[in-house]
Amino acid sequence: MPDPTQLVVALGRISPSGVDILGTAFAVGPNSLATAHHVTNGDDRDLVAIAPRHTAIDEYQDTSDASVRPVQAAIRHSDPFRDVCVVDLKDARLPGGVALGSTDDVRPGDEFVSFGFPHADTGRLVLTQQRSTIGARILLPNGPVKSKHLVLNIQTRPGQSGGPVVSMRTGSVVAIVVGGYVPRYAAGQIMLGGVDPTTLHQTTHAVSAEYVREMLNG
Amino acid sequence: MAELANLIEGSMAEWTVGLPGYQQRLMAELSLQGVKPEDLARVWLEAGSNVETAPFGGQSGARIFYSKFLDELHDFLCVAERYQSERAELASALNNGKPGAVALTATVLANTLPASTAYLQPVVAVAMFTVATMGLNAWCKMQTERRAKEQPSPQIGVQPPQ
Repeated sequence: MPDPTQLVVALGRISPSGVDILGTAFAVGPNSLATAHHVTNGDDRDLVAIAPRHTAIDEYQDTSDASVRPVQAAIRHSDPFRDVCVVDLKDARLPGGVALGSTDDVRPGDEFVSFGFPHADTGRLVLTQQRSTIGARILLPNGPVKSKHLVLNIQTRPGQSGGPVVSMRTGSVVAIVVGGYVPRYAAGQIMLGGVDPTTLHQTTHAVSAEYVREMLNG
Repeated sequence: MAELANLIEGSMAEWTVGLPGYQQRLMAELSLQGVKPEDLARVWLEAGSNVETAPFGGQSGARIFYSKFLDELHDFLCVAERYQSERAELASALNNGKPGAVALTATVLANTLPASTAYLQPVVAVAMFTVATMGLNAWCKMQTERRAKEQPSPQIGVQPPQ
């Protein structure tokens, strides 16, 4: 099994100041990545994946190193209702794709491990591993469409959207991080230092990976 | 334009047959939930984040407003000065089948709108069905009138820029 550093990458967009990090993505094929739709917003202009900068998750990641190697990317599939997206890399190959499962495969109390780039909105690029338990299985509506999600008992931050949630029992990616719970009445009402305090808690939402599987299966 | 008017016809199934299976299933789900065919494109573009979820992407992106999409589609299909060569390609594509025409239209519009071809294809497919239902000439006229109404009126007493 390849190291997570070779399967989980950051997505970004070329900008006048360099590369703006958009979120996390993970390999689902030799040159394909899955992420959350809102990470790309359905727009692949100047979209790039950041080539891995390390070979193992336990290496020391140099936070003063701002250099990146962007790889051009294009959106192949995009679903704004389920909030999932598949992106193809141009002229690059990954060591392989992860096994995709579903939220149906796990139960509250099951352990998971996830990977992502928290605080990427501040320019930080540190691949971070987290481990916790699944809190609940829920249906979340997006307009008229309801989708299966997990509640993860963990705090996540901007940049982690698109990150894989791996079941410790099955070894497959069962869900994709999409964001933190926020009460409808409170979303974006207060910002302190660029942070919405209503998102500072251990209730993260992750959408079922089966919707990516459906995309790839046609 | 007369040739295009004759070619833009057909059922929803004919216009969406080239879409990937997951998009066709989503369209079916939306229809089951009561979304009317003429509203499908708008609902697709306006799909935001899940309820009670703060998205944790690194940046928030620009939204494509439905009216902006309609403006570009109107320019592409109806406005004589723009997209002349692309319209000729569209006529040729329509002679070979609607999936190719949908892909071509989505690619053309993706050059102007902040969106990928993959994201726009289902929107284009259902929008073209709406055009087909109404008839191209009637749809063009309706959009011309809509855009004229949406233009800001000149204010009395305000000097235009010199």
